[in-house]
Amino acid sequence: MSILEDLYELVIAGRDKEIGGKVQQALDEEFAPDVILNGTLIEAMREVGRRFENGDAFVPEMMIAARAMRRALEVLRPHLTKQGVKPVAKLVIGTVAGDMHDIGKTLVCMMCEGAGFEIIDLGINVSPDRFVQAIQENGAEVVGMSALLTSTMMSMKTTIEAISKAGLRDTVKILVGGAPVTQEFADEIGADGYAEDASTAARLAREMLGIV
Amino acid sequence: MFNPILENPSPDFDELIRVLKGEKEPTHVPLVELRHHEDIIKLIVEDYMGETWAEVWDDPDHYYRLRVMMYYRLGYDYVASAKGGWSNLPQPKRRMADDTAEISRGKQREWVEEGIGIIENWEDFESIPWDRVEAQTSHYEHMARYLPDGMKIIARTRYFADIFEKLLGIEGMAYMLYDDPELAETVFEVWGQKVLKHFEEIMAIDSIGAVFHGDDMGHKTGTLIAPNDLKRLVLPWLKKFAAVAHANGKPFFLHSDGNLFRSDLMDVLIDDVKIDGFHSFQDIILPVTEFKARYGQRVAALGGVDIDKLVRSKEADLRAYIRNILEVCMPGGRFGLGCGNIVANYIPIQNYFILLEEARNWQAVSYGKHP
Repeated sequence: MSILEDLYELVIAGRDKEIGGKVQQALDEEFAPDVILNGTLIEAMREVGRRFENGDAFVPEMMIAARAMRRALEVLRPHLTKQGVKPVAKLVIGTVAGDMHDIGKTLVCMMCEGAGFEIIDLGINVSPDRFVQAIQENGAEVVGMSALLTSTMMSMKTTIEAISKAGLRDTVKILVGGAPVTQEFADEIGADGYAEDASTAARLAREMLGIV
Repeated sequence: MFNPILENPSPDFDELIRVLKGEKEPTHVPLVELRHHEDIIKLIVEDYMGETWAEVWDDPDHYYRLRVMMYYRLGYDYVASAKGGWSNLPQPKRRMADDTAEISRGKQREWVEEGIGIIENWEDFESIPWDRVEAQTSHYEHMARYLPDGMKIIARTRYFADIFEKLLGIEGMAYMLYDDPELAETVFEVWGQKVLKHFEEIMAIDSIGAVFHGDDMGHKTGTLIAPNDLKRLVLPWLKKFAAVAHANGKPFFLHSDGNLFRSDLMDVLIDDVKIDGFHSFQDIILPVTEFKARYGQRVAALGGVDIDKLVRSKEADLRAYIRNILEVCMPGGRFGLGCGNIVANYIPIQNYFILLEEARNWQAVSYGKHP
């Protein structure tokens, strides 16, 4: 197996203790950082996402792969910066006001980071004003919102209204998800996309920006 | 105007179970809920029953009497058990936030700690005094004192949910299954033994008529962990728990959130674990009407009214939706009407009463039976 194929398999298998050394080896063998990132690591996470959507991988497999990816990025990031490689876009994400659920949001962060986004994770119980502030401060192009309960998902609507009121609605793509959230609800509140799981969220975030 | 409070209810728990097991056709609409949120119970007993509320820690006798009376006067054949707990188990982290439900009356809502639980390594595991960790059962004795004739308690138990909510955390469990599978398996084994002992204790209590075992195994699009891992780590214990319930002549109902339908998991739960009923339905996953069509010859469908519809539907749409569920699910028994999850405090109370009213109207029309 080539070194890039090794890296690909290490991400999928979640081998975070070995992957840092393998990334360094690839760099030492003069593989370009963006080739390592885009052609291998992101593709590996994409495969993990496909397996998750197909019901062949589950939360643990996604998490260990994301952990391996994160470890690889720790080694790769300085080289990407030196090469002038930027994240595909900035994504601001949080669980909406009144909601403390974060496992879904955490998985979306992992998958979107694995898809090349720079993640600004606002955490849980995030007010509409905080979303607006984060979009302004970071120049985010994508906003992700998560909710667990029917009662708290209504905060998604008020957050979109706040974003509109701040004059930012046309500058961002808004993606929503969570247990009670449906496509119908997403359409009703004016979101740009609805993702039923973390892998779909990562894929949709790229598609919404026209990134293959 | 609909009055949800019945003057002379006539609970018949044995009849409920016969209907849910498919042993006889229903002669009224069985009502089944996993539980009602405390705020809902308080609202009903104060505003609709004219009682004075008491918190369980202030006046347990009064609290449990009110709890039993609420289920009784609403027409349930059983009282859903209050929450128990475990003594000598370290407390997991909980997250608290202001409750956004209208009737929350300024309280905070408690959330699951989804990160790491009380066991991260072998040292944590060994520091827990396992021989002194015991389930609390006094609430069953309290409730039993106030049970009217014909009524029983349905006990509430958990196993996998306690592992990923308290003992390991969801993230902790996910990593541990790969990083230290031996520790993960040890936790599953030790906790399984604890819960089994608890089952052996409570299934022998005469006032307990059944058990509602709550173990969320999935999310919207699949199971939390691989079905094969569930079959290896979780289902053998559910089978043991169900066997204890059945040995005592009591049904074992399973509550699980999430999509369990992408593999053969439901068939294994029905045929191998031998669950008597399944609860928790979300229309986006599988409507209860579809579940009844697929599995209704083998297992009871419990609850079924989608929470989102219950919260956000206009009255006419909600009534039509509930009537459709009754039309499809009532024939043949093996069905009890209720919410798709719990009677949550963010469900408008009038919408919950519409559920009750539609049940009573349906049975009046279908069976000529007025409560």
